[in-house]
Amino acid sequence: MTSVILFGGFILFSMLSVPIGISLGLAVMGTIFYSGIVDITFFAQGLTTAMDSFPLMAAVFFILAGDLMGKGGISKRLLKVADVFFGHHTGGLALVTVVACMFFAAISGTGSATVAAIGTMVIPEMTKKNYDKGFSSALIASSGSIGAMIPPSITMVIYGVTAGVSITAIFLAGILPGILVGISLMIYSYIISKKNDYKGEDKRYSLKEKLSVINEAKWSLLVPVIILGGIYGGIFTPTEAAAAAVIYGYIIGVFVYKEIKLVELPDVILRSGLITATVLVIIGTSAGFGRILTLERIPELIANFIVGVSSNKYIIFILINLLLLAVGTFMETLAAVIILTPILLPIVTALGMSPVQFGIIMVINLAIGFVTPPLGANLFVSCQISGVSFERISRSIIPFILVMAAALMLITFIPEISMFLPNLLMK
Amino acid sequence: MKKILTWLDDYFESIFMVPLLFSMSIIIGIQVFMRYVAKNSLAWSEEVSRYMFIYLMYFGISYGVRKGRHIRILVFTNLFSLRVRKTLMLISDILFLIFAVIITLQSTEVAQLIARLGQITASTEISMSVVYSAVPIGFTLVSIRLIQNLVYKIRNFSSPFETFNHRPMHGIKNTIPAVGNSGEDK
Repeated sequence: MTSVILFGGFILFSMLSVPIGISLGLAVMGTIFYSGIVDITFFAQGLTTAMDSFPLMAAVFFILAGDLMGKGGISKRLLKVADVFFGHHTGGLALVTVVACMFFAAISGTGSATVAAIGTMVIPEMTKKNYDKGFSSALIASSGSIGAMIPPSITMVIYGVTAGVSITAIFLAGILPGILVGISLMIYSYIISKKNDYKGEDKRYSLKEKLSVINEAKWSLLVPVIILGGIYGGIFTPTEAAAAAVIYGYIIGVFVYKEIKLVELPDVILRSGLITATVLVIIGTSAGFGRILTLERIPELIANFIVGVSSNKYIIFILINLLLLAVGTFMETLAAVIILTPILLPIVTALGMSPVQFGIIMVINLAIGFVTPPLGANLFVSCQISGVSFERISRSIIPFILVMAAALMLITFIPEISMFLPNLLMK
Repeated sequence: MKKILTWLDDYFESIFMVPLLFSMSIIIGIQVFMRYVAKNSLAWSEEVSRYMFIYLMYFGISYGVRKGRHIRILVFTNLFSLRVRKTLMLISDILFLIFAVIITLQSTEVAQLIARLGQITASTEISMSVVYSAVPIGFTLVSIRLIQNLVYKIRNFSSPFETFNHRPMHGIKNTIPAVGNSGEDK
């Protein structure tokens, strides 16, 4: 009965359009009043203690850094770099889009920031080159989702905090899977471009021109080096790296590229603080939620149920992937991480999967859910930019989802794709 | 006077949020600089920035209510007629308000309890109750914002949905677009 109130309440309140974090809070509160298994004071205290986390602060800094970079002219320069290397191939612009998204993903922590930053620049160009509009907007939505897969990633930060796993390890583990998804999307785009005869640009760049474009983008290209190099070199914690990226963003945006005016800076800061708060409001309620789960032994019940369906570990992994995909389609990503991690993590670790690899699988599943109709938020952002109808992008996105799901299967069943870098560098 | 009030209505939380977030980034920057360049680790920087972060989040949650930026799932309510939809919106705001009021009362008690116990923070030695006050302060503001919104929504019940659902800013236009189904990000 307790779990019916907890989960039923959460679903009911969120369907009534109560904000997600508050829905979870109300459900927890209702459960407490009904059963008294947790003290309401503990729940109230949890609103402070759950937020009191240094690793969690990385989230606000990465959002702010991404915003500063997006506004500060960095995305434009990254796009130019991708262009001189890939622009002349068949389907050049499509390839450039994916590569630019992968670059930007190494700076930004979120999928929709990546779609907005790269999409606004690429979609008009693709339309000029006669790319099918459904194809180009589906492409930008799906390659934007790499923003959450390649570190830094807000979803990874929240998973690390929730699961008690080193964020540095998860960041490392995310690099190769993110690149794999990117390459899969490039291969698919190439095949489609060949079929539809989307030509690349005629102009080929000489080595000298390439170098000059790289030189112009050097401040942007340095960002991932500072963030990732700093973390793995042991200079920074992830949170410190994020703060360093923010300060770097102030300097580059305001003084070097001069695309952000000093008076605009408070607005950018306010916007990022506001976005982070509306996203992280759920963290405060997670302490009470987690406590009820543990006391009610809900993870054990669900584990027993899943193990009852099959004892084959591959089938269980597939079932968990399907569950995550379905949840990712309907639920806000961070809410899904906070609710599902304590339930699923014990199951997969019992089957021998590393918590780090599971984090990557979760992040990718939820990112795919982010571009799956009818709710995928990236699709809405992409539609707004390109002006195609939601029905049209919903049709065009399907092959992209299949391609990403295929990459996800490889990542699920070949642990080395995720674990190679952490094993190599964190010994 | 009226001018000041409308300005506060638009910007009250941001007076705190912008300096908090800006100084958090600078403090952590200084922390790294001191450790690697000056070879002198700061004891207070991490702790102080963590507490600033808690305040930033709770002011931000309140400002999110002011700007109508909280992440809501609208697909289900969108299935209903306009009238029902607006009524559901009011109900969801009232539920939010109930949550906010209970949390304000409970967390005030927590903060008072901590004050009585005389707990202090590890390195800066300020009272822990200052840290725990972020939640009651934040949710008091949330409650005020929700009541403002509710009054506005009831008064404008017959307006088109967007006008009904977003209390406009007095000074500047609401430049941030309303968030659709599952929010900004992740």
